[in-house]
Amino acid sequence: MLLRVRDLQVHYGPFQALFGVSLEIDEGEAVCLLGGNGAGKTTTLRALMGALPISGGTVELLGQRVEHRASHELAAMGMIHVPEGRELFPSLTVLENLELGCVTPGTRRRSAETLAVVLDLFPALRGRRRQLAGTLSGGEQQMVAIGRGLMGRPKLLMLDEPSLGLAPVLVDAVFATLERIKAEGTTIVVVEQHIHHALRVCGRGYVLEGGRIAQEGSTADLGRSDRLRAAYLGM
Amino acid sequence: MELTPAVIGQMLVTGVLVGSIYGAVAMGFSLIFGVVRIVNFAHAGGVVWAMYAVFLVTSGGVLGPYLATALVIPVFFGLGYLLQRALMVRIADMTEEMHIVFTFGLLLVLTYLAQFAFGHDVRFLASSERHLAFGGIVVQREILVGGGVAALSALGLHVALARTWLGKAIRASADNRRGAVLIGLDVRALQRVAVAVSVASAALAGGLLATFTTLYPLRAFELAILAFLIVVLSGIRSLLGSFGGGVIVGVLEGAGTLLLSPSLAQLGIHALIFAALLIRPEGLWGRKEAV
Repeated sequence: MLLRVRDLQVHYGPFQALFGVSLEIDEGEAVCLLGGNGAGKTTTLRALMGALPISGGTVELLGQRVEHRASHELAAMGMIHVPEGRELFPSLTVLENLELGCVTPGTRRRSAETLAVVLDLFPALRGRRRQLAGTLSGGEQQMVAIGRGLMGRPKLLMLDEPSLGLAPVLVDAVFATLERIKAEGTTIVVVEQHIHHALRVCGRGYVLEGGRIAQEGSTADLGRSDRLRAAYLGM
Repeated sequence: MELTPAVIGQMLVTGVLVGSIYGAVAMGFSLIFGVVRIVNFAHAGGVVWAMYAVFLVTSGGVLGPYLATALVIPVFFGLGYLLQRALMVRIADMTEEMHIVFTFGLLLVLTYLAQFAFGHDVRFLASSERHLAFGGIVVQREILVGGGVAALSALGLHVALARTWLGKAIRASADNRRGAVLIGLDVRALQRVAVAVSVASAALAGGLLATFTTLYPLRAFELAILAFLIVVLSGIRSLLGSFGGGVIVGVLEGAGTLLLSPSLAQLGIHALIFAALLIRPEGLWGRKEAV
């Protein structure tokens, strides 16, 4: 088991955002977190990444309890976050953005090798290496964000809404890339609004509703679920 | 004094050299602002305490001012690290007004502690009385060494921030702090390093200034205001811009002293900076829109 989350609870001040979320993710899996706006998807991801304080529950990464570790410690263990809204470094170049994904000395030693792989995955970035990241189009910025995550050689890559704000054709390209990353053996957790894309790439999924897991199962089952449609339509 | 080409040339060379040290002071000031988002008025207090430290070590008679400076720099690096770890991290999330109250208060504390410890006397180190002359331009050795070392250090800092992974990570956390945290950079550690480098640069500038200028506790206020004006003039985000702003102010100071008088020169500098900001509020090298 790569990641085991039990009864995760998160509060924003007096307001409880997560009421006991439990997840299990095996090595090599691709799992999606689905649900409407405010269901708790991003909160779950940020809490797991150490970016939000956890008020209850346990998180085990590779058999170690990690629920109170900081983001940089988790990243060093191989849990890498591709955040919502991309969060690039706009006044640094594309190449610098990618290099900064190498958050551990070990990944820095192998950065040239990893960079070649990332540029193969995103050939469009090859000619833009010296360009400032803030001047790229939305689709290219998303490529940099995913590429930056891959530079850290993740054991678990957690993507938060990678399709946000992208044109449909670019959303297809992003998910085609995720399929390739998964085929290389990287474990993926993806929070997504485009359910059909998410269901195509991921084998399993969890549906969040009001800070709880409302449903879980294979994507084939979830695809037929009325409840999933209800969660998205807010009915 | 008659304005011969040699006199003007001498004024320009000296102005650029002294201005390079002002530039180094301003760079340290804008490094902290960029990375920690705190306007650190106490920076100049660090410069003046470094001047006193170099003065004290040198007065022992064993070490010269340059070796004394080399000794003081790592101590100040450590003090900067502690300053960020123990104090600044606690005020980081407060409002900008609170930052100013805090760092200006720290400047007051450092200034009055210097007055308490060293008195109001104006002190200065013995000059080597050596001058270098070329083409009719005569420059005091200490000013040449000081300006040269300051310019090289500024360039070194710029290259380190541009080329090394640590430097890029420091720039990244200044550019988008939330993003840096989310992708797993240890932003707090990066901030401690940046503040330590900034305070160490204050020590370097102080040591170099001590070799040829006078020293008194209230110097800290003059330098704080000078550094603040330089970084506002330059657009606070650019380190090399801050250095360039320092050079410009150094030349203006030299020109004012030559043409008017030392006190009118200070007035003139401030009037010119004020005028420059009315014309370009974003600073000389600033972008129209802050990203």
